[in-house]
Amino acid sequence: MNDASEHKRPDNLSRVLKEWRADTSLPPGFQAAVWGRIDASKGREAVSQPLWHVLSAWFNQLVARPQLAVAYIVFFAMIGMTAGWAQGQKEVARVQDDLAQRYVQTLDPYQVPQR
Amino acid sequence: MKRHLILMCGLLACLLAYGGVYYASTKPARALEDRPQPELAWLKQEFNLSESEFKRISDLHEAYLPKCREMCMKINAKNSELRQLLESSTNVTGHVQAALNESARLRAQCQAQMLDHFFEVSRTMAPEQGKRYLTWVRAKTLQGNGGMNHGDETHHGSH
Repeated sequence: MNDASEHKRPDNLSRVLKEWRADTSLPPGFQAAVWGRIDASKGREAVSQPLWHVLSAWFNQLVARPQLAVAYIVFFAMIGMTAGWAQGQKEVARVQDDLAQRYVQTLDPYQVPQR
Repeated sequence: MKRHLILMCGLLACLLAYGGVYYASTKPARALEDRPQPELAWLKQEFNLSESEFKRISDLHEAYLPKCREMCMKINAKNSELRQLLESSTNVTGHVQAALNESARLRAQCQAQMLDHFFEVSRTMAPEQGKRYLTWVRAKTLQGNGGMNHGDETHHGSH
């Protein structure tokens, strides 16, 4: 008996569903709005990721290509060269000033060191 | 793993480049400091002295130093005497005035001797360099020593 009623239910349900008609139309721009909400939720997901994850993903993308990996290494080498040159110039200027002051002091020991 | 390796390579390249360029750019300056008389070596480089000019100036420098030391000893002795007089005086006595005068005379004699040396050195150099040397050394010694600093001028201006 249960088998028979269960067998009828799907048919009744199917019949009702087939008979059902939605006669209201979607509001204008409905689909665009839905897709817009979907895109917005994806954007929020990206913003909410930690900065470390974003940088890590970017770096992974970068080093995946050999040319970019080499360019990355060269870029860092150039930064090192620039910093080394700037610091070197500072040191050279300091040594020059120091030696000039020492020359003056050998001739005039009472000279107050000028800085 | 590959990512970490590339990251380390980048940082290593940065450090090596920094060290290499720093070492290369400071090598001449360090070589100058390692010379027996670095201040004279600096003078040679700064004023583009030829070997003969440098030799002559080095000789003048060596000849000047004993005279400078002698003057310094006299000035120190006079200053020491002045200090002792001032410790036992409550006003400017005749002795104090005499010591002050003698100290000033010795200092003026020292400065005249120094100027003489500067002129002689500048004559040894090429004319342009000699002029530049005189301007520089006067600014460093006499003019720098005798002028008031801004603090004093402000103070005097407020009277």
